[in-house]
Amino acid sequence: MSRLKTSPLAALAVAGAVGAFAASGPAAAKTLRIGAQADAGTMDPHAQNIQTTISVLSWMYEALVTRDKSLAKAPQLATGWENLSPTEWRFTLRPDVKFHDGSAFGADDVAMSIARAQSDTSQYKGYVGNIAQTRIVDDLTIELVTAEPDPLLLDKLTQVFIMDKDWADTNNVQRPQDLKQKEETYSVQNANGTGPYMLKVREPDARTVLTRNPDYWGTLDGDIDEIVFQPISEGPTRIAALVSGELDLVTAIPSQNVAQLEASPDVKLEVTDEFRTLFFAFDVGSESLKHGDAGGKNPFSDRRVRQAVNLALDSEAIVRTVMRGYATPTGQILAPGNVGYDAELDALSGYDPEAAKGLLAEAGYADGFSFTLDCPNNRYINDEQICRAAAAMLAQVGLDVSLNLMPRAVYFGQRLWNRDSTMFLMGFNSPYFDGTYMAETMVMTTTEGSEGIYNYSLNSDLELDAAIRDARGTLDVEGRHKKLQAVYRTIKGDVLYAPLHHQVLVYAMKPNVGVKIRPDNWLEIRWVTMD
Amino acid sequence: MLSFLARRLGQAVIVMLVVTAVAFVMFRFLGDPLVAILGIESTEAQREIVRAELGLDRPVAIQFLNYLGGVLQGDFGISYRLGRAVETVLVERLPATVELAVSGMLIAIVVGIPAGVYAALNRGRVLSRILLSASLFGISMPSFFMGLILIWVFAVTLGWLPSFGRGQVVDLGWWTTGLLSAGGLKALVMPALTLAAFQIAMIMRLVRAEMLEVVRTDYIRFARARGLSHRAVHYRHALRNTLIPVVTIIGLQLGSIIAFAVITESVFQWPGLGLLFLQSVATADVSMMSAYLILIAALFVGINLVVDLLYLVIDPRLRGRSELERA
Repeated sequence: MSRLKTSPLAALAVAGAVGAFAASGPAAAKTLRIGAQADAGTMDPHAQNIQTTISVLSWMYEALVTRDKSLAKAPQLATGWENLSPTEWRFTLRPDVKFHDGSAFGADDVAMSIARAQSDTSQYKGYVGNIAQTRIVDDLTIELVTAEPDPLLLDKLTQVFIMDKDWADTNNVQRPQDLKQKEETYSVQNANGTGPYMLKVREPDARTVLTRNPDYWGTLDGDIDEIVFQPISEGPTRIAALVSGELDLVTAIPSQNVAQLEASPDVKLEVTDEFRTLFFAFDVGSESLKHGDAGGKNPFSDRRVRQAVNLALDSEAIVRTVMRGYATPTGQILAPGNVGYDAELDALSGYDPEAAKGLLAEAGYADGFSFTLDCPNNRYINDEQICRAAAAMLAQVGLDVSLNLMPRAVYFGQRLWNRDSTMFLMGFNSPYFDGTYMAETMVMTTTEGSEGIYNYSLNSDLELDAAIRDARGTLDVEGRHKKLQAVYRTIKGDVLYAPLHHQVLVYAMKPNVGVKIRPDNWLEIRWVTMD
Repeated sequence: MLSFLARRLGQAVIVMLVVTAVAFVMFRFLGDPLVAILGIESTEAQREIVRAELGLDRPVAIQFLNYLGGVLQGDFGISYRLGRAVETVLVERLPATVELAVSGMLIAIVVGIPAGVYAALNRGRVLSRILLSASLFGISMPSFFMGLILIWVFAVTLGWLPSFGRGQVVDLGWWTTGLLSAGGLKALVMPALTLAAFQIAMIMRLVRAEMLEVVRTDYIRFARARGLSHRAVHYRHALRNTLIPVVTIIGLQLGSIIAFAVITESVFQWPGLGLLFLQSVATADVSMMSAYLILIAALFVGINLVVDLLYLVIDPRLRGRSELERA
């Protein structure tokens, strides 16, 4: 859908011409048509911390640091960096880089963008919250000072896009949309970055068209001139559009549709392990069950009961049936590829309902107990079916489970944020490719700062907290890796969670399209090719 | 007549007030808008700041009065998901839905009425039976399934029609239309057919039943006795009387397909109000959901009002009664 502002008559003529053009098939210019489940919510680079939005924005906006194909950190708008002290970082910026509107990139743009990401309405506060000060040394040198030593600063900066300061001033978008002012801000529908593609048409929920930036400083693997990004919410329609040739690339294929696409000769599939692990978590901190009845006690504070749940859940069966094989069963909560990952911990607890019953009896719940299992129905791949299967499996060992399915806005807004859930499904990925984030935000006791902000389990283990704090302060990667492995070993030993599987990402494309999928579901456009 | 109109308008205002209140309160219990504003991964401290900033921590009654004040001035607040003014987005999406609904209804009328008349006048014939069975199919087929079948046949297998979207759209300044370009018309075919399937079946069955009823009445028999041609009896007298209830139903159905084209719009990624509503629900975009509900209620109240007035015009007895009331 594109718009032409013109009189009806002229419009008719033009529309006819365009229609004829469209019908004549692919023109000389190479256009990549991408279909996704959801649209990017905004063109503002610091408003929505959602993977689809980040992906689309990364085609137009760039960060100081990026990732190379081996996922190692690589220079982008910064050409290099050094630590002046554990809390002081000096970045050398790339010279001769221009924004899409032609203005030059410099240190003031970086300072402004970081300040912008720190504002209250930004969802990127977590990435820049630790930056206490920015010091502009000269036009191409900037120093960042963190409040505490932060080994993940570079990883965090890969997510912080740089916007032009003058452009922000001119259009009055120095902070992400202020929802109090009831007017839409310029940056919601317009973009001005340094990236390889420039925004041409933005029609929310319909299509976003980008054209190649002729002055792009970097290199692209492909030579795609134009990108048309179209959200198609229904899986079957999205797949039909690929098979019928209306799309070139479709991201995030639902697992139940993979087999059908495998059979299609004109479609190629790419599969990668995603950095997201699904698991059940429990309220381990309350005195009694918040939603359920176990005679005034909280069975989930007992390790044996949690272990029984682990033994009662057949994660292999869930992967085989619900996920159609497109997931990897696991015994831990951290996905492969993260710093701190230990393959040994992937060993499954095994499916053993008899042993589960034994453990429940030993803990004093021979007759089981009743509780509510909370689940989202539009957050993770097949979340609803996973929970249905799990509820049935738990019933097999004598637990009386009532399943409470809800949309994610209710699930998070009313249950998890209020710490008001007894057992719930979680899917966690680390944007930093590092186990520190999950340990810090989800496992640690909720205190201040980012410690325990997602600790919906009310978990509190001061020894474990100390170990995580120690790992978090370790700048050296190898040392941190060792310490985190120990942390995750303890988490597994305490059976704080009931792990299910690591998700798998499936993209489908025409045979002439080449894509390398990043495990965080970030579509890196510089790596996409089209023959 | 005037008092009738005033009473109807008064009722309409009360209904709209109640709907606005319900829309406002209901959606605030259906999910936390902060999920849409700050994302799932936000901290409690951050949420508190934004909650206070947006006045979401104030008593519901105060929030409602503020909201009502805004709505009366045409200000429905800002969409938390899209970061744009709600009324702007609604106005943008309305043309897509209206064009789809009206085309679907036109197809339904053009096919449904003749088919119904035929089935009534030719009872027992093979074609009538086929039409009736086909209509049963049309009524019972879920539109999601119907849409997918059409997509696989016409987009995937034959490659004639696009499987999603609105195609080439022309912007007339105040309205965007897909009716002026080949691409736009092509894109309209399958969604309109999907939407029409149920309506065709319903209109056809309604016309058939009404026609059979009317043909049995005395004045038709007298018309025949007067020696009028079959044609005149059937089309000038019987059909015209059949159409009165049919027009009413079509009016109300048009309202409901504008309001509930959600499934069809979602299958074909048709960028109209229904798709917008679905996406707003998924992200707890409460301001958008409330505005949608109010808009739809206004649509129904408006249609009912028009239908009431039409009755007044069509049926002189109603007019007489209100004249009496006035006296």
